[in-house]
Amino acid sequence: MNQVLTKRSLVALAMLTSLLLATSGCAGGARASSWTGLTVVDDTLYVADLQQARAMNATSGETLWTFPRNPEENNQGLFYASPAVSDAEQVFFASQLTTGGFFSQRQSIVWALDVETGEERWRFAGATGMYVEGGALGDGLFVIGNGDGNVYALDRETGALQWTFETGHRVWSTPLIVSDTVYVGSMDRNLYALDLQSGEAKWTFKTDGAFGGKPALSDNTLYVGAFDDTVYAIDAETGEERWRFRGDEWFWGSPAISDGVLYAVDVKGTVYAFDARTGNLNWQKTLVTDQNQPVSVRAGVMRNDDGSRLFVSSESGTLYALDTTAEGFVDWSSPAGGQGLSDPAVNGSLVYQTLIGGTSRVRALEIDRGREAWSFPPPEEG
Amino acid sequence: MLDFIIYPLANVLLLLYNYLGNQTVLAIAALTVLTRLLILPLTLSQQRSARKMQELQPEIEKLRDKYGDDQEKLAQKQMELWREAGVNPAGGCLPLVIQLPIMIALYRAIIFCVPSTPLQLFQFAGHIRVDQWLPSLVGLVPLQNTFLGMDLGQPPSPAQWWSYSLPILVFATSWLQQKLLSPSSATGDGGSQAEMMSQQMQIMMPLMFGFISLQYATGLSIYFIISNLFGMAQYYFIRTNRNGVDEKEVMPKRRPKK
Repeated sequence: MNQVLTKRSLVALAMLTSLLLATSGCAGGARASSWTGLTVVDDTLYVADLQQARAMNATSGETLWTFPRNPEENNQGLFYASPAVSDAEQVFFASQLTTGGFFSQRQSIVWALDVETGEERWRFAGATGMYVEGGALGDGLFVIGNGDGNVYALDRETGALQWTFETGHRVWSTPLIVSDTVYVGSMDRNLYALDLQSGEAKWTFKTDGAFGGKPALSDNTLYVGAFDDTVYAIDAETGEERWRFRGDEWFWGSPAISDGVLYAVDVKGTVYAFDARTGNLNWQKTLVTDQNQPVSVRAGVMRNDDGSRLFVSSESGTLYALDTTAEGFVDWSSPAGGQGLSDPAVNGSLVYQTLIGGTSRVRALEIDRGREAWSFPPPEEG
Repeated sequence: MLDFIIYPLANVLLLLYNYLGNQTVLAIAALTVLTRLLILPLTLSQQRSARKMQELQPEIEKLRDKYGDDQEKLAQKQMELWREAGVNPAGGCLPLVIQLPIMIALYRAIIFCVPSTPLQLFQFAGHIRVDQWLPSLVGLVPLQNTFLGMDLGQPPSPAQWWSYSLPILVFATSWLQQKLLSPSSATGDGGSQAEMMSQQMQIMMPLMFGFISLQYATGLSIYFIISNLFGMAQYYFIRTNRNGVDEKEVMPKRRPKK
């Protein structure tokens, strides 16, 4: 009897151990739990490249500097959130450092680095949750949301904490700073307008869905999508709703606006174009794979300088270029290995995409034809 | 691989959350009880199998005394005895094999609804179905993630030191359940290798569950605790409904040590 019981227990123990090994990451290697991001300023690309912060020549893809220089010896965690670049020649990254063990504290760190050299200026390790999207800069402050539910405002010269604003859930979206106001959405289903200097709430816009994307602003109107399948247009001064559009799926990524037209994409890959003033739908286009299968989209839409093209990165790594003058006709699509979950960026004639889990982590494509200009690491080093 | 179980479970969790006052812990507890009720026939079969094996224990002991020196013959006679009694000695393993994937699926469902990372949340996007039947459920995800100041989507951490009480509770309730359900304390000779191993398992299993609770989201600890309490309640319910006869009373007495 006991032998049978023991066998049974051994079976259970073996299965539990397998479960533990399969799901705990003990198999080795850093597993991404979010997406990496990039920002391009003055022909320099700043990339949160998982194990490093990286500055690259945006035209050639040449690496200018990395931080830390050797992550094997000087592990500073995993870099996810899109960087922000200030006039004061600092670039701000965020990383998530897990030291392991039962009683370790997971550290989330904001880094201020020198834009020229990548040297550390200061760091801030006061948050306890995960930084998912990047921060925003305004009037001497760097403001960023965190998975612990707080919005942090740091002095951008010293990193000193100026104020925190507590929301009811995780803050996984990038704030938008306009003049003296910070607009930030939380998973608590509220969009907040905060006073930039004090962090006090000016108004709160309540919805039925969480906010994951950065709002877009035009003509004193904020545009933002939410997890209640809805795109909202909100008066930036008063927080009153101007119009809303109810779709079929979550709107996670940030919308884009150009010439009075608002573009937004839902997580099932349907791109919508609205009249920004009225909310009337101009056109919609559902993206599919070459095999006519539906695609998933986390990232927001990005437009080129004249607004004639939209770029959408799908979860499966394909970057789509849509012609806005032809109701979203797909001009070209460029597949890649890995997941493309972060917003693309545009600089001149190139569009940039970050990928996780593939051979390339960053790539640059020509806007007109979708031809790959360069990728990092290059194919032979991948 | 288990998506066909995970997503329906996650959707049921959303429904429960909606109807239980948007209380995540209540929803997890209710889903745990529902899942345990769903697999009740399996656990009862497991317990029935164990009980039958207990009842055959005196016969097994006699066979051991008789054929102890001839292991092959002993095994053959044991198999005959089990066959005659209609007992499958491996019958208790199948329910375990089925229960564990359900446990894994339930954990994944909890993680989808109370995610600690955006990738977990994104994996669930597009798999929510209940909002198509009940539009009022649109936008429920992610569920409220705090309970008594603890983040249900994160493992226990020093910043929330009281969250370490959950792994302790998981260990304690697992140990109690093992103690109740294991008949080894009432049968067999305490010195046999098999019983020693069995006793070690009584500690190892709760330790393993406690270890898992330290490493994973505290929402999983809620599931473990409720599941263990359900197991104990089930044990007492079955025991008191067996014509008022205490199960341990019908168990064979300890064999005197030679």
